[in-house]
Amino acid sequence: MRDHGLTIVVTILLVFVYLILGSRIQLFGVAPSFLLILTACVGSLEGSNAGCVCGFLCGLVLDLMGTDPLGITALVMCVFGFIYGAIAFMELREGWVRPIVMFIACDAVYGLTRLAIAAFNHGLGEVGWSVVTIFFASLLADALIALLLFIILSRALARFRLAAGGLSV
Amino acid sequence: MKGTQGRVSFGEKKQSSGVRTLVVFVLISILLITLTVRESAQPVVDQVRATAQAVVAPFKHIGTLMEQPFTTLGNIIHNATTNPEALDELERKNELLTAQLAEYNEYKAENERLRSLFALTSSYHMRGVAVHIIDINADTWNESLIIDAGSNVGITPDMPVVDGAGIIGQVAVVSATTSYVRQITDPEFQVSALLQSSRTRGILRGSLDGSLHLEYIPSTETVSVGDIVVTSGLGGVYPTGLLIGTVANVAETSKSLYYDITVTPAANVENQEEVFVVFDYTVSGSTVLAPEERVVQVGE
Repeated sequence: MRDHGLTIVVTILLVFVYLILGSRIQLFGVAPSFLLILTACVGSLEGSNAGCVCGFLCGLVLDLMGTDPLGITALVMCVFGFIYGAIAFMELREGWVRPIVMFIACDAVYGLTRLAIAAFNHGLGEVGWSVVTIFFASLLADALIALLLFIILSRALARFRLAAGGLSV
Repeated sequence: MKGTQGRVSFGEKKQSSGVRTLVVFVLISILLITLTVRESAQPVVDQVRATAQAVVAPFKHIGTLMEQPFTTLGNIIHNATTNPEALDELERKNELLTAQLAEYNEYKAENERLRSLFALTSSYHMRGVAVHIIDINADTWNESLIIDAGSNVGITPDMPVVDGAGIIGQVAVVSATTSYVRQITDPEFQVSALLQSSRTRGILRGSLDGSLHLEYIPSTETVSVGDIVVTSGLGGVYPTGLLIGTVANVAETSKSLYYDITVTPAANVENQEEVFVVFDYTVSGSTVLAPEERVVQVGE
């Protein structure tokens, strides 16, 4: 559990930021999936282990704030954090573009799944303009926030590790 | 040693596989889901959820306070190009008149139908509590809001939430000091509604894009843009005749038996700071009890 200390602290801090400001920040008319982005960023920067922990905590927060069965989002997001972390962490060696592109692809799959569920429940007519007004808008918003959070988080974690390394000498 | 400390590169440090962590969290998640689904454990889960929402409520308040200067600045810029007093007055008047007209028409239609059968008054009186909205919609895929009152003032799940213009939604989760309200525009929300002009009943539901759709209105009926949509009263949650909105678009497909009617909601939470949670209401002299009170009566 000691290995997860930094991940847990960073996750809790950013979850508080999300709780205070999350719903008030809107880009292109939609609220970015901040906690999904956070899980992806932590997974790609810290690896599958940290991605799994971060995903579970973020999912649990979403479950507690919503009405879905408790644990269902936590389950999905911890698996997402683990798989994304396992792949993106390796890709990060080749540069930061690939993890971001990977996240956009994952976000697109997530969005399409939500649209498919809506189409299944309410018919194809339900989807219609939602493809543009919600799907593409949220994809763009999530990509921008992911890029921003990725840069901030990578620098913050790098500084933290430098400071921790300096202290240990 | 010092030379290597100056450079930190991600993706190069040794990472543990994390399979054990994944298995632990998957098991915890499955345990939580099982507990939630089991009816006997539901009160415990609800209590945990309510406590978490109560803990989070102060942070939501901080967000509201932080947002206020920006909202004020935005309003100043927006109002710079308009006459603010005249605009406010007209908006307020329009909202009031639409609600009054709907209410008047509802009373009139009801009286005309029932005058020969019953000597009943056609008014209803609501009893409830006015509350503040502290947060609106934290997710693109859901339409919800959080209010600053919960079980401490007697709010229980399923209670209707309204404002001066019409229906806002329904209470979904209640904590001690806050409540989670599902808006009528949420894709999961459904309510029985009727067209005021023809008295045709349908099902009104929200959608992903935040619009309202009135379904199961037969294409043999006459529906016009601007027709008023009100609650039908079926189900007993909402009183009959409460304004929902107006018909914005009527689409008819050759193969379908029903219209696809888009409704513009009368209530708009974006411009609201307070809403009203309805505990119970009176229809023609008889009190319609709140959901939990109805359950108690059935049990007795």
